[in-house]
Amino acid sequence: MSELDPVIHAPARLRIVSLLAAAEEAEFGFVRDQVGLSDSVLSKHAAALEAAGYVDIRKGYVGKRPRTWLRLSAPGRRAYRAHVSALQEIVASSGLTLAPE
Amino acid sequence: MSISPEDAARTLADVRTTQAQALRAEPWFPAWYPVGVALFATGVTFVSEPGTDPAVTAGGIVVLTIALVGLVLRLTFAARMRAHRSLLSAAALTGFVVWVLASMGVAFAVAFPLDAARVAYSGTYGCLVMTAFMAATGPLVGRWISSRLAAGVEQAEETR
Repeated sequence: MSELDPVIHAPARLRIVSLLAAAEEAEFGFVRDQVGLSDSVLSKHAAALEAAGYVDIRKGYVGKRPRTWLRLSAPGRRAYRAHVSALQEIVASSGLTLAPE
Repeated sequence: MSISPEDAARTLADVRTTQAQALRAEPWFPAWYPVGVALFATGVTFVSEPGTDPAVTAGGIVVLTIALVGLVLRLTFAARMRAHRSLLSAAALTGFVVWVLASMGVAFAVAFPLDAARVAYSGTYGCLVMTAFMAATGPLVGRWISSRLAAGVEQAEETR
């Protein structure tokens, strides 16, 4: 049975990780806008996820403007899948449906 | 750490919503990319037209190839978001391939009759029309594919 992962359990952090799970790579500003966080809050979550080895952070430029991209690492993708599996098991064991509405 | 089944179901729905919104926010490919590739083809046909100085042909192809590599690098390393390859469905991929083939068909439909009429640079004209076709339809195709990917996430019984 899969276990919930405390590193990605917080709602904002799970939204960040789930967005990154759907992406090869996403730019910091894109993640910020989609998840609805401020720069500083996203920076803190990204740093925590990087420290856990779940997210790789790449810095670069578009023209002369500095940009940052986030990518889910292989361990991060495994952790995300295990977390989602744990959530699905909780739902399934209760008899609720996972099917979309 | 524990969570109620209702909260777990809500969390999974939130995950799906986040992914679908992110996928819909950006086209699967930027409009400039196929236009750039089509312009590359246009340039290649232009510099390789029979009768062109071989040095011009070789130099032109080198310059165009450098430009194409620049396009690919920009797409790979400077995109706001690139959808994960695991999300690409057979239907979306088929749609993309059909669109590329249709674009090439447009080029041939213009180039072959011109070539039969012995019009110089017939291939270049064909590729220019293909570029215009891709510029006009590319944004729609990119958005269609991203909406297919988002719908796939929303309709999946298991969250990805």
